[in-house]
Amino acid sequence: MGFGKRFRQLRLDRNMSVREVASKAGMDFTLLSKMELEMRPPPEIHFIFALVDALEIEDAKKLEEIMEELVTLATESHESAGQRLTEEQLQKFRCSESARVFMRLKPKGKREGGKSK
Amino acid sequence: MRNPYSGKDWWRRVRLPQIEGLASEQIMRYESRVCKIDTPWIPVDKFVENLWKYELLYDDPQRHGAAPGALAVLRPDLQLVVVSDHPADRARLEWNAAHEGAHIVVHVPPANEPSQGSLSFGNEIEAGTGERAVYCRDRACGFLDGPEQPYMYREAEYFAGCLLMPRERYEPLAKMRLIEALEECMSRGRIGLQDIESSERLRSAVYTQAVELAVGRMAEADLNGSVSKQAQKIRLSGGELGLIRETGETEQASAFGVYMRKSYEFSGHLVVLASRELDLDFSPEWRGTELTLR
Repeated sequence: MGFGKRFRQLRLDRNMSVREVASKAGMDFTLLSKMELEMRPPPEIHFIFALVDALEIEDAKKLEEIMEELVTLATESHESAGQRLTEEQLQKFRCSESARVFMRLKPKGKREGGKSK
Repeated sequence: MRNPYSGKDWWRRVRLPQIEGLASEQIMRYESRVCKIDTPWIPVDKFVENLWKYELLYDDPQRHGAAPGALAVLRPDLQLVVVSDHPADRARLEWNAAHEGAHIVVHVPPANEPSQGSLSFGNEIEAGTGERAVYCRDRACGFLDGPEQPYMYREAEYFAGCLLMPRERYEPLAKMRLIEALEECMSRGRIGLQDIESSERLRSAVYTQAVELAVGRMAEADLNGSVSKQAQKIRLSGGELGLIRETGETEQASAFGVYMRKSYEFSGHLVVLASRELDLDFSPEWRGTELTLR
């Protein structure tokens, strides 16, 4: 399963539409739609962060797993298309703390201005 | 005629008045199988993917076999709905998807449909079960086979209108707007209940104005941006949703006679004609209010 199909599966599991997710991720919905059906290559890594963020996954561990899976799939896809992600982009994800900061993966209480319990 | 979705010379025939029922059924199924609808509009894109299990692609339909100028295309062979990626707004996107959804629900034969060999073409022999029974399609649809549009297209348009503006959701609103408009028209003309009860001509005139006013208010205040203009034309300009009661017409005409008028602009003349068959409902709830307007 490629990036597009997997992302579509994740989106459908959450009963979200292409347009909802694209809007939350700040992405063009027609592009996302084509990406899901693998008519376009997966997006750049920062867009993957934004797309996964748009799925609104609450469980941080699950979120990290999904992120890793999607980045791997995207990387494979780019490799097969001869457009490998740069080492710098991959490093950005591998450095989990950076990824957490980027994706606001801090504990829920500290997200969005600190709604702590 | 050959069914373009099955490539066979027979059709699953759904009685025309059942189309609204089928649309309503889809909403019930979505709410029971997927989730409750919590948006002011019917999320047809989610129906396509989560209920009908088709893939939805926003792209140029011509790249996927559509005729030039088409804004959407259905590819049952690929389980794919392609909607134009250059729409004007969300409501129009929903409309395009709903039209293709109509073909999925009404026209695409299910996988377990019996083969043509079991049917006697030209006779309505039931070969399936229940509502979704298979019938041989002949040209019994009469006026629906107009030269300008195939009847499948019109069935799909009607289904889309019913899906996007379900009676359960919009009829109470339409009736409320109609009552408000009737009160306003009677107040403006200093017309009382006795006057309109005693004069059919006056009754028709007042009702005509009121329906026009109510439709305009709904379009501007209640539906603007949430429901496509196409659906509004079918459901409101056609006088459906309780605005005009169709009586004494044949089954086909009651389903499509109203819709046939959609190509005309909404006009008082049409409503006057229709209102002759109206059963005006001066219910006690607003009768009292109206009397104070004299």
